[in-house]
Amino acid sequence: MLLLAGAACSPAPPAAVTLRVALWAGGNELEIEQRVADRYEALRPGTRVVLESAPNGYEERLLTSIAAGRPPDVYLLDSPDIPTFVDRGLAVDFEPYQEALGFRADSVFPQVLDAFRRGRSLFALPKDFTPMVLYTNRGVLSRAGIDLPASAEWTWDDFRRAADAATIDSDGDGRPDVYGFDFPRNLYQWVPFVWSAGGDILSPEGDAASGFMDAPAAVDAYAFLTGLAEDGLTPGAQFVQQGDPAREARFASGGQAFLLSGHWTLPVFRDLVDAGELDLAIVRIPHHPSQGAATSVLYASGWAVPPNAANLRQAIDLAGFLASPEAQRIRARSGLAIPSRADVAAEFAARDTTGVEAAFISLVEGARLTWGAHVRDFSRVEALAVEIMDRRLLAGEDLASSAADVARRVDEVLRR
Amino acid sequence: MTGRATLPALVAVAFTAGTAATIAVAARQLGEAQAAASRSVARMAAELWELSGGADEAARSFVDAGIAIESVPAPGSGQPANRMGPGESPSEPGAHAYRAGSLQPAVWIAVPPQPRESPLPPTATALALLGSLLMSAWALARRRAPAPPGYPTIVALTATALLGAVAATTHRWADSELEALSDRHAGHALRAVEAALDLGTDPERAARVAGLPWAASAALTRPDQLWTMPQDVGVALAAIPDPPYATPFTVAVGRTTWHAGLVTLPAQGPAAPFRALHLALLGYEETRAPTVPLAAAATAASLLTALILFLLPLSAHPPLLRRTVTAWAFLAPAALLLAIFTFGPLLFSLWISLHEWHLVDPVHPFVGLDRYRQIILDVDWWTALRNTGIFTLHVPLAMAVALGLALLTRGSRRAVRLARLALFLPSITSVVAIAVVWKWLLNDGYGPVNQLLESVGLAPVSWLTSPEVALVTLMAISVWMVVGYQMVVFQAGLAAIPRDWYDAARVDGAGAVQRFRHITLPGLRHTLFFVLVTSVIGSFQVFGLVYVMTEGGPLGATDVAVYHIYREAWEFLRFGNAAAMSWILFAVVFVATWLHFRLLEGRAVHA
Repeated sequence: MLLLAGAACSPAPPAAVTLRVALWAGGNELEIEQRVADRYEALRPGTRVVLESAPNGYEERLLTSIAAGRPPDVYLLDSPDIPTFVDRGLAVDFEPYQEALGFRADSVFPQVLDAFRRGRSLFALPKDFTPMVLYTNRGVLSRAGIDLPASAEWTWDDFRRAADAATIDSDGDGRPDVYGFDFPRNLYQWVPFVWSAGGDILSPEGDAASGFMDAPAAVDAYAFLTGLAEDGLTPGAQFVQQGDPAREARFASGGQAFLLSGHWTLPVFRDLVDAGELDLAIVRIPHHPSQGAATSVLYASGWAVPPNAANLRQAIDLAGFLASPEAQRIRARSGLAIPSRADVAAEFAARDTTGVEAAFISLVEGARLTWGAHVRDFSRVEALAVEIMDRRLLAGEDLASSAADVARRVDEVLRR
Repeated sequence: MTGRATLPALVAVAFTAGTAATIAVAARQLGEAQAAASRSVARMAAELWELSGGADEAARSFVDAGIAIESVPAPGSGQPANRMGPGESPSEPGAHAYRAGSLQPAVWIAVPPQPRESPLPPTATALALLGSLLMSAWALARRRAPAPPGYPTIVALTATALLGAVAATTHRWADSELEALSDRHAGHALRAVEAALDLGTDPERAARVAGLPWAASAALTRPDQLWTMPQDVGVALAAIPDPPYATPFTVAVGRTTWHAGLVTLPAQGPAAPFRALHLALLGYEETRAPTVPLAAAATAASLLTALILFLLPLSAHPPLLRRTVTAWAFLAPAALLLAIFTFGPLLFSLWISLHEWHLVDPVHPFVGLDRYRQIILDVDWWTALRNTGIFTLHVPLAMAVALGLALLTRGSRRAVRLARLALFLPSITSVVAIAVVWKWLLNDGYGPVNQLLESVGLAPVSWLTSPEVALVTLMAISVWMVVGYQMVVFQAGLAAIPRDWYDAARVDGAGAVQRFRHITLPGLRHTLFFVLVTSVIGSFQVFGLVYVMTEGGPLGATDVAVYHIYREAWEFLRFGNAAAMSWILFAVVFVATWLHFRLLEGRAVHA
């Protein structure tokens, strides 16, 4: 009885709140995110953070949970998904909470912040990002007697010469043993080449492709890239979204001079670079000879909160922590992407003795956001756009006519 | 069993319970909508409280009746701060309000429940009472009457008609209540935005107080720039020549009604670039209409009544009645499972195919057969169907190979058993695992198959990267995958052919070919038919190989129907298209199967 009475008099424990976070991390990345979540739980006693990760089929799972009326409290928003979620009012505006969260917009790379801004509103707190860059195997180039351009800017002609020289058939079997490049089949890979030729794939409003995707500048870019493949400077294209699964291994083992990718590929090479087995350089994408500079594409992700989250304010607080410098420092150890905060990114770049991180950061300027961050149904545009160069490589079709046909079909998609 | 007395009473009870459930379902749905509306109003009050720096009057300013504002204990005071959350208690809808910029709740704002015009649907209630009286009177009259000789059709029709009338009038009542609720809500939203603007808030922030889709008037001239408000709603609002200000009105967009309102913005100050704010509320009658639960309740009650009436003629034969009820009881679980997990999703997909449907969009406008017409004109869909048809051609080849293997691997010798095992293994291996391995084997650059070809002086083949070859490659892999299973089925069929027939044929001088043609094939006719039909249906549904190996490419050469449907749904989020394509594919498979039965089974039976 005394025990019962004592129990009745003791203060009630604080109510436990469980916050569910949807993300697409896997393996080491998920372990690091768990460390971030553990840190938050330590800072907010009584709060439990459950990470619900779906490395595959993330968007399907997220949309289904929202449709079922059981959305996560916080979810990771990828730049191509911004229109799907933000235009449908599925993300809370963080603008009123920035001060309470200690979020300083001026500390974030402006291009990254813009991805999640609409007017004054901010619909996700930026997590990290990456521009598309050219990974360069300097060992391959030096064996071919080529020096990287001293200037950060280089033209398609320079790149073509370098790729040409790097492509070597050492055993004389008629098939190169070292390639200059690999064919960038997907739109997210080749759109910087169109931009770097002074063109674009859509109108400035994002409502039309005809006159842009089939314009001379864009066709020049297609011709340049398909020319590399037709002249044997790239291995045979795979014609699937995931591309050639061997490309990273080929690059790392000295079988390829240039690799077009984002920061997410860097952890694959990190051990080799640290062990001195891979002489890696990060360089800007080349530009058309008629242009002064290249423009790369940038992909970002941020933490968003659905307006009908079960624990709205706690979810906002958690999102604030997930985007905080402390969380970004923990997360940066995975090396998968560049922290969205310039100061945290600079800290890690300073610690990196290889200079690769600094090179990445130097390439952020001049990069622009993917069209997917602004245009709804962009996945359909991407699916159609791959046809332009596929039709050339597989059916020998004229690039201008296939581009015009695809642009017309993209127009139909955008009109819907 | 006193079925003659009990069954009519059960009919009356089922009918009365059905009408009560129908009305209760609607009333409950309406109650939930009212609670949601009240919570929304409470959130508006909370937003205004915060915007005003904690002024209670700002929170009260736009609510018709009084609201309760109660302080929340500060964190660390021994009580949890979030002791109540929005919507936790439908009887006291409310929301937390916070000091500006704070994430710790300061007060709890409770609003009175939204009023209802009438607690119950008057017409539906009267009809329900009348019907219950009628059914009870009929049940009383039947107590001493002999069992009817046939099905009491008139009673069943009367009960169904009454239940339908109750459901229809209840729906009309709920619709009108929900419309009124939406109108009141739109009014609250307009007043809340006005109050926010009076506090000097900028238009964007003021619009968010309402929590509704909104657009500034300047944006309405550029539909592509609209913010959160659906584009077609913005266009419809912009087209209204002289819209009323500060008063809710409705606007029809397609078959959907939106409750809208305009708030004038001050000419000077933070609102300067804009002239007016437009708010739009998708009416509760659109989002919370009790159509489906009402239809389900009325249908279930009608079915139950009809079933009990079906038993009535059997009450003259108690053993037969008992057996029938027992049989139904055994069938009921399976029937329920079929209804919920097979027919339910089928009907739902049909409904989706006739509507504009996105997973998270609140409104699903009816588009009817327009989508089917678009799909029929879609070249890519026809390409996918054509590829599926071509892919299906591997079925006869696989059957021929399987039959040959079945003949070759008869017997129980160790080597034969091992051969059977090896041939059967692909059938029990994951399609994904098979696809990954074959993808590596057939890679243009480093695949062992091409290396082997080159080592013997042959030219490499673009197995998966040539539009002419890729589909044939998938067909060949599919043959390899299915022959083991088909072989086992054929061997079972062969085992059923009497040995004597072969002996008699040998005595008559028949050779191997003649025995195969005149004994084996006719003896296997049912097995052949079974394998053919199931394999054709399976090949129409091919997905895994394409998904892993070619993604429908190159240039759509391997884009088969199910993969096409998958992409429409989960890559392009066009669920309506995917559902309509699924129904078209169903029709194709149905016709193909029917033709098989028509052309082959009849011949096999008469062979």
